[in-house]
Amino acid sequence: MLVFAASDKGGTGRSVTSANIAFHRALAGDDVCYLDFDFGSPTAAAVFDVPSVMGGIVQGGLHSYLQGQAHEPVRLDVWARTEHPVLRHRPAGSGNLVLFPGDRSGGEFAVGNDSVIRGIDLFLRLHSEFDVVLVDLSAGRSYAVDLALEVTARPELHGVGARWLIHHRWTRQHVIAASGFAFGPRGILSGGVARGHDVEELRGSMRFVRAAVLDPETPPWSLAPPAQSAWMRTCDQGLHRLAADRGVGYSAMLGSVPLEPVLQWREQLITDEDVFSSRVAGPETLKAFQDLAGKLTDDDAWGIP
Amino acid sequence: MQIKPRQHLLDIWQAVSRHSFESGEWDWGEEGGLSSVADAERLLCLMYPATEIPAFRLDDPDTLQHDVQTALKDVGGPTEIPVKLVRILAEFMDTYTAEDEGPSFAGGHYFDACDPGEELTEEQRRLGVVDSFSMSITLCLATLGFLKVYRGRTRRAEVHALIEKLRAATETRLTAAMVSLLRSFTVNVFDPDDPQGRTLCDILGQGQISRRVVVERFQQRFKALRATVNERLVLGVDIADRLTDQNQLFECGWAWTLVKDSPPVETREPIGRQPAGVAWPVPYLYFTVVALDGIQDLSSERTLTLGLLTPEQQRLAEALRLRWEITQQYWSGIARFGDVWPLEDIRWRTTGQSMESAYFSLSAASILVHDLVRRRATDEDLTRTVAVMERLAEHSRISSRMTEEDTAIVLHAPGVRLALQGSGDTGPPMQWTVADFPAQLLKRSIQLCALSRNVSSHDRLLRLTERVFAHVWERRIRYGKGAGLWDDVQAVYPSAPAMERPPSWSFTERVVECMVAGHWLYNQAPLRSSELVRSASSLLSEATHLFGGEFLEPASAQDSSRSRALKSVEAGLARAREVLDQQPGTAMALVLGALAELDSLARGRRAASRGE
Repeated sequence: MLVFAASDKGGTGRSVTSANIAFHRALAGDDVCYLDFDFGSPTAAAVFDVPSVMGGIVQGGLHSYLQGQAHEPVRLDVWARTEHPVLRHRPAGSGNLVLFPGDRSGGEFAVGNDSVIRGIDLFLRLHSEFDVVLVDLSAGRSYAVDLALEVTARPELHGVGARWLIHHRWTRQHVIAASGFAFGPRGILSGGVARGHDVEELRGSMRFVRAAVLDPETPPWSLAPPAQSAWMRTCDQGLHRLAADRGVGYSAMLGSVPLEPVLQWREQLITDEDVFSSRVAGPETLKAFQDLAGKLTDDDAWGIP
Repeated sequence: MQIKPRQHLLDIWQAVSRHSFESGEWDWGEEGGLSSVADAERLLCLMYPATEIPAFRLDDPDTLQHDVQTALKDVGGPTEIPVKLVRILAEFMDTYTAEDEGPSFAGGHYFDACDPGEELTEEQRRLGVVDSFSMSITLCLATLGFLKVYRGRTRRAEVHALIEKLRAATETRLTAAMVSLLRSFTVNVFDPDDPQGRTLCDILGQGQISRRVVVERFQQRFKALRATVNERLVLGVDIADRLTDQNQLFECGWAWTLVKDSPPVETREPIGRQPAGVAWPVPYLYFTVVALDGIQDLSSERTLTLGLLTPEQQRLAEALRLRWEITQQYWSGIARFGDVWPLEDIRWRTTGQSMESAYFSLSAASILVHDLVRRRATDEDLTRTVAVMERLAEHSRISSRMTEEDTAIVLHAPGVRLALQGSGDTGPPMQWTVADFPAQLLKRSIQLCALSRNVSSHDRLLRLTERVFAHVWERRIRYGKGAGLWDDVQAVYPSAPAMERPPSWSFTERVVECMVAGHWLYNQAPLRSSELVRSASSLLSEATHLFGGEFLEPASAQDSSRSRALKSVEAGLARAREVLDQQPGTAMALVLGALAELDSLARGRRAASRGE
């Protein structure tokens, strides 16, 4: 299955959330690969703690491959290359976790027919090799998004399931932006339809992921002074209504990740160790990622509302 | 016990979903499909709050609130709930539609034989009943409104097809229910010397005034109404003739089902064959109240704004509205006839059935409450009604102790039994049992409480509702299937006979209605007393003045504690001014805080000046 992670703005937790999803799928035994299509600023290596390719690799990355400068994009086995103390001991029963880094000086480039053909070829090969192919696209309506829409519209990829996760923060501006990014006149949906996607099918394969969500009903926010708590609850209800009006409501949401200091300050993977041993991260955060990873392939979560 | 409508409703919803959903699937149970009244009541337990209270709406999965979602977790996730409701409602409409005869309003197991030894025939159990007609109107309107919103929220083609089918079935059922209500309405004319006439004269005169005077006053009081009935309603020739005779008494309202020989109502809607009526043309106080409750929903704001009625249905609704109006005026007039109200003589005696019970007093009071809602009665009337309500609670042993061999136990268990006149033609005579007295009393008290704008009667009503509510809440079933639902009479009256069919959906549905009424009660702005407004504004003026004086003192640094205190005083006074008219009590509390703060500064200065 192909999973595209997109967002309208930066700072929506797209890379961190996607990396965590990939990590938890691999822990559960799936073979997973992570493609860093964030051509502006490849960051996934930092989240996986692979310092040798921090900020992208010098050459032979995904950019070089798509532009025809490399036969094969470089692939890194995360379990072997990471410096994360916990990850280095690959847990028994886990699947492969492979990172395809972007080029350090890649930047954005126009999508030509050649790159589309290479893209198709790459996705088809990875699809047969991995259970989940997670593609982290750069923010906004970038060339990476165009390429993904173009490639998935081609007949060669029919039958290969593709799903879109749109990441946004739980604030007014982000909800409005995410809705516009998905359904607006220059959004993914209209862009996809222009490339030959079926509107209902594409819409059915899109879900939203909320990041840094402040839930007034769970600690520490539930312990706020009464007036502040009343204010937060009213604001939260208003946000829910706004989201519902803009098509970003509950039925279009795959999951939500709570506001978590560890994620805010250290964009990192959340492991059992962080939650149960050192206890620097909240159990809700771990649960949120596990849920997201599970729902990714759970057809109930992808039914039409 | 304080009523917390939202929490209590959520408790009830949780109990309903636990009882009715067997691992996520709706289970009609053994009793399901046997009585259209019971099944409609059960569905309304969910649908009524969902339509009446915005926070309980189930038609939009995106805005379902967290606590509601938790209460309904046995049903499924937010996106599943509306789909399941559509399926369940469709099953209901299917079950109660006969092949070629259109919608059915069967009373089913709610009917009993008067003689416990006899068994009712199938045909009798299939007879419609006003409870079902009225409940169907409420349920159909709730369903139509629900579908209207949900249709725009789902994109599943198969659900759209289901919605379309359900909508058509619901519209047909609504029309059929309205037609049936029209055909159950009756006007009964009788001579003052008939037994009925004598009973009515006794009620109105209360043994104080001679029958001749009562008849004269009746003529005066209902002259206009009599003319309206004669002109606006199509009556049989015989009845119309007798009604013009001023010396005849009359009453109007609803019989228990379609009236015998009532002509079919012409309609273009496909409601199937209209069955022949069986009921004698005699109104029942109980069924009249039931019908009035349902008809009211037809002209509610929600029905109008959502445009739920077709032009054909609007025509029928108008005809019903006219009967509603006439009946309301008539019974409100009867209840308040003369100087000492007949209503105040508890244990009302019905004319048509010659029965005596506090339940009928409550029914008459209910009609009066409807009338008060429309502000046709005065504050004085309201205060007198409050006293009646209190006495009813006392009389039914809700606010007093049940003594041994107390006859009031009948109100609670087994309930008041109404013999259904005319039901004996196709089998043994039938009866109808009503055992929802406390819930009805609670509902009417809450409605009255929401109306009253007078502090003392409001407070009396609030105490009464809390008392009755504590009683009702105590009567929930504790263990086993149906835990958290009603009705366990033995919980409050250990000596009462055990109930036959737990849970009682009619009781549970009435409590749900009470909670919805309670929601609207607390949604209103609080009563404001003009005395408090006066005191609060005097206080405010003093505080504002002292606050102004404080600025004659040398200014403090921006972040000093004194300037912070002054800022907080300023904000408090501004807020007090804002809420002064609506919440004078709140304004007072704010001003008092500010005054104390200002005075602590003044005291400090005074202490300092003593030392010089």
